Amino acid sequence: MELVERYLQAIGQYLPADSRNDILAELRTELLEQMDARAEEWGRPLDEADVAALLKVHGRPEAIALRYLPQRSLIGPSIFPFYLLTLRRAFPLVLIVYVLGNAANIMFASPAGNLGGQIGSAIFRLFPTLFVFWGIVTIVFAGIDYARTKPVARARLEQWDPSKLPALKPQQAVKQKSFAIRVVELAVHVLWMLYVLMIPAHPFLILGPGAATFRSMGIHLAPVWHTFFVLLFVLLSVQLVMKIVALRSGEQVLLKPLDLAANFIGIVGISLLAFARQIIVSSNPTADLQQLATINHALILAFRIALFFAVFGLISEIFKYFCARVRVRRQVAV
Amino acid sequence: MIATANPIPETTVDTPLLESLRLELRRGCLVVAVLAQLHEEHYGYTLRKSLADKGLAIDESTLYPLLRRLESQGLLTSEWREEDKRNKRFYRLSPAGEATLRQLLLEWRGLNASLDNILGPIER
Repeated sequence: MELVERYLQAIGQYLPADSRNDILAELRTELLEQMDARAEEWGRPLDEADVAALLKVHGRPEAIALRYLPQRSLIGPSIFPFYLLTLRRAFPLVLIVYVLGNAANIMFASPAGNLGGQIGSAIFRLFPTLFVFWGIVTIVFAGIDYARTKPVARARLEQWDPSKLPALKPQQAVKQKSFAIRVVELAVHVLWMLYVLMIPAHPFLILGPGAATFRSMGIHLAPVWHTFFVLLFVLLSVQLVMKIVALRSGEQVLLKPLDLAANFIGIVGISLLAFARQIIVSSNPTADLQQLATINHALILAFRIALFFAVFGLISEIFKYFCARVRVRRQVAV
Repeated sequence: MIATANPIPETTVDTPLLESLRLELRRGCLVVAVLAQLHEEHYGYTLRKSLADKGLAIDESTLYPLLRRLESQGLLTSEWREEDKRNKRFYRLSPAGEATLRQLLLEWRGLNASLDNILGPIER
């Protein structure tokens, strides 16, 4: 009997005070009736082990108490799909805004700090930001779910016009370039590679007559350009591979990841220049160092602006690529 | 290329899914059965026994919260009384419960007839 009371006490601690005694009294009756029936069936009184076995079958105290409690949810099942949809749609936007905000902050910070440290710090701060975003969306939806139970809000939710649903999105056909266009693109790319690779030895190819003026003033490209040209060569080689792959099969599947990789290499190249101390140097001892510093600052700023747009473009391309893949997977699953 | 549907093995039964569907199917039926059984006054233990004797076993952790919910919805009335030197809570249908049960039985019979129509050709 003491075991039954201990069991009831364990259940009671989870029950609301106003109905606790009532529920426990009813459960007590049920258990005692069961014990009487069992004793009558077996022809002997139950011992402690028998009672323990009976209680075990009856269920864990917490589970029993839970059945008596009202179902509570912060966001109910009718609104939960909208909550998930909002999180799924808004999450990439938050991520893009965060990355762009931090990229701009790092790029235009004056003076430029430790790049690795700044990126690490931005990644570390991303998690609390996403947590706050999730919290705000959850609170808003919990509020909507609460308000939804009110008659005025319910009436508003039921007012909708099917004719105002968005128009069907046009199905985009996959554009396939003709073989002739692919051959021309490959040829132009090879010529472009040759042109770019000749620039370091023949600066007039890009500067024209200005190259001679720069030489006479003793102005040269800074050593960072050597690394830039190595990266540029890698980038052009990747693009060459892409053109050859496209030439052979016309298959678009592999091209997008390669395109994204090429964009990434390009961004690394621009970053080298955007975060360099000097873009141009002078070997002339009488050169105006103040003017040189101003030109360098202007050029670095220009590269940082270019980098900002390049990062934005890459994130947008990656986002579109993964959205398209998810869409294709869903279509296959259906 | 012609797409072909994956063949589904006929004997495969997802047991947890079946259990969940079975519980869902029983849930509404239990309410009707409990209301119908409480045309006569019962306390929890005898109600459970009488339902089990008629082939509808229901465990106590389901029955008692259900009785409380139906009472809070005004479909049942209850009173504590002493019987065989033990305090017991007796339940019975309220007038609102009687009316609701009549409506539910109409609904039940309609559903049953519709399901018979739907299932008939499959079972034959």
